[in-house]
Amino acid sequence: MIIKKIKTTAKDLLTDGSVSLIIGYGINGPGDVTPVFIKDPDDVEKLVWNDQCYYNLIRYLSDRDFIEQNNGSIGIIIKGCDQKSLKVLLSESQVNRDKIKVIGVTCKGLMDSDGNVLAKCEACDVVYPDKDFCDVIIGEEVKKKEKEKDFSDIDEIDSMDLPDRKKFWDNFFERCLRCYACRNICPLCYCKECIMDQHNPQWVLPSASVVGNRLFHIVRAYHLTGRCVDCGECERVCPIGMPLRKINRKIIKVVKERFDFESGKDQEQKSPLTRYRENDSEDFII
Amino acid sequence: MDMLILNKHELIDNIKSLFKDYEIVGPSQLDGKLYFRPVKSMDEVVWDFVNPVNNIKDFFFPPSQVLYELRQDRIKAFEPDTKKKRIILFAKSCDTRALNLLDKLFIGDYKDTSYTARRETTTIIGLSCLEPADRCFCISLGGGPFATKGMDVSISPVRKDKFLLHILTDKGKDIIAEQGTRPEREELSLTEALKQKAEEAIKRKINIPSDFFEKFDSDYWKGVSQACIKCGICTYLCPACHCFDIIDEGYFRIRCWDTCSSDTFTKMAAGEDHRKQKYKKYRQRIYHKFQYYKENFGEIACVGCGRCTTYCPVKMDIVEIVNNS
Repeated sequence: MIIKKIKTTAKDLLTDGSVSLIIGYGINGPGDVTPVFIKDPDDVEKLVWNDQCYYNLIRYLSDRDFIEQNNGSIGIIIKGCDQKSLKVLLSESQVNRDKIKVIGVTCKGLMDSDGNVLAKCEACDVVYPDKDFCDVIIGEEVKKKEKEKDFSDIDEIDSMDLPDRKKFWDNFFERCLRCYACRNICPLCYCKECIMDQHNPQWVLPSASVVGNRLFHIVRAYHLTGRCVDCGECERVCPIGMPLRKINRKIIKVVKERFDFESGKDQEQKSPLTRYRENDSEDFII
Repeated sequence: MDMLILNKHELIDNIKSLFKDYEIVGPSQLDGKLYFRPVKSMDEVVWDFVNPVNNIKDFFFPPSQVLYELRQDRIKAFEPDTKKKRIILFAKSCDTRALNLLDKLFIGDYKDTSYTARRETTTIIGLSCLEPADRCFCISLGGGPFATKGMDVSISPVRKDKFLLHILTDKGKDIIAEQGTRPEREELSLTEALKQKAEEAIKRKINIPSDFFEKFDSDYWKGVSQACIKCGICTYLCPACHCFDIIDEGYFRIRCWDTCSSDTFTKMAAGEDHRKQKYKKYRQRIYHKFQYYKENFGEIACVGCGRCTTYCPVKMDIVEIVNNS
C-alpha cells in the first residue's frame, strides 16, 4: 500500500529528526484533497494518497516567506511531474538540495471530478520519479514511457489566421480577473517583486481589461520560456478556465525546436534563455 | 405583496417581452462554465444550476471601472451607462443577500454614485435553490435556499413547469404582467415541501466560536494559512468582498478590485508593509468578514455561497477554518 509507506516514511523522517516538516497531501472539511504541513510525527495519519493529489507542492519550496518560516529540513512528497519543476528550481539555484528530502511517489495519473484522466497525465512521461534523484521512492517501478511529444493542439491554434487567433484568446482575456492564481500557483514564478505588481514605473496595466490582460499573459509566457515543465497547475486553478497549457505548450514546442531543450530533465542544464553559446542559432534575429 | 402561479411558458413569455426595454443578465454557459452574463434570448439561460463562477456584484461593482479621464486642459468624469435598465435573472438568495450587505457600505454614510445608479436601475428576479451544492452553508448565516432578501421578484418551483412568483417590490411589479392564477393552499404547501427538502440538503454549518475575537494573536492563523498562495480568487469570486484600489492607467483613473491576500494590498508608498506575512493577510480576510463588518454594519460579510472553498486553488475551507479557530 502506497499510503502506508508514505505515512511510515514521513513518521520515520520526522522522528529521527532528519526533517522538521513534511509537505504532503491531506483532506479538508468537505473532503477535498489539500496540501498539509506536518511537524508532529503523530500527525502523519493526516496524509493521503489518491488520484486527486493535483497540487505541485514544489511551489512551497520556492516561496521565500515559507522557507524563512520553516528553516529546518523539509520532506516533500512529489509526483514525477512535480520532480521536473524541482529540477528547474535546482538549476536556477533557488532550492538548497541538502535541506530537502524528496519522497517520490509513483503516480498512475490524476482524475478530474468527473472521473476523467487529466490531459496532462495522458501525455505524462514520468510516472515513476527518478531513482537517483529522490531520497525515497514509494510505489512500483514503472518503465519510462518514451513518448513523442504531441503538439497537435498547438498546431491547431497556429493554423488559425491572425484575426481568429486573436478572437480565440481575447474571448478569455476579456474574462480574466487578474486574480493571479496562475502566477501564484506556479512553482517557477518566484520573483521577489513581480513586474505586474510594480507601479512606478507601471509596466503592465494593472486593471482587469483586455489590453492589460493580453500583456500579462504574454509577459508570463515569456518569463516561463525554457523553464515551464507543463505541470498544468495554472490551467487547473484558473477560475474562468483559460486554456493556459496551450500557451505553455507553445513555448515548450518553440524551445524544443529552436534549442532542442526540454526543461526539467536535467538539473545541471541551464535553460537556453539564461545562457549564451557562440554557436547559438541566430536565424530568428532580424 | 402579490403572489402568482405561472406556467413555465407564461413566465418565459413574460421575460421575453422585457428584452426590448431591458438588458437581461442571466446564468449562461460559456466555454463549459456558467456565468452571470448578458443574454440575447431565453434559450441561453440555464434554469437548473448551482452557483455560477461569478456573482451578481459584478454588475454593480465591476472588476474595473473608469472614474475619470484627466487631460491637461480638462477632466471628464465617467458615469455608468444606466440609460437602458437591467434585469438580473435567476439570482440565488446568497448573491442577493450579499447585495444588501454591500448596500450598507456603498449606500451608507457615503453614497457611491455609480453603485447607487446601477442599483436603482436594476431589477432582480431571484430563483429558489432546489439542490444546493455540498459546499453551501447559507442557513447558518441567516440565509436559506428559498430566502428572498434582496430580490424584487422571487420564483420558486411548485412542480414541474409550474412556478410560484412572489412580487416583492414596486420594481418587481413593473416587470411582471397581471396574469396567471392566485396560489392555492395545495400549491403553497408543495413549495413549502420543496423548501424544507432544500434546507435539509444544506449540511454544512459555520459556528463562530464565542472567543473568536480573542484568538486574533493566536498562532492558529499561521498554521491554517500555510497552504494559501495569496491569489485573489476567494475575494474576487466572493459576493460580499468589496475592497478596491484606485489606479492610474495613462490618462484614466480607474477603480478596480483589490484583494487583501495580495502582496501589494498594504504596501505603503515608501515600501513599508504592515501586513507582510501571509497569515496576517489571511487573518484579515476572516476577521473583516466575521468581526469588523459586524462591528461596523451589524452583519457578517459572508453569505455562505461556498465559492471561496470551491474555487480555492489549494482548497482551503473557510467553514473548517472559522469553526476550529
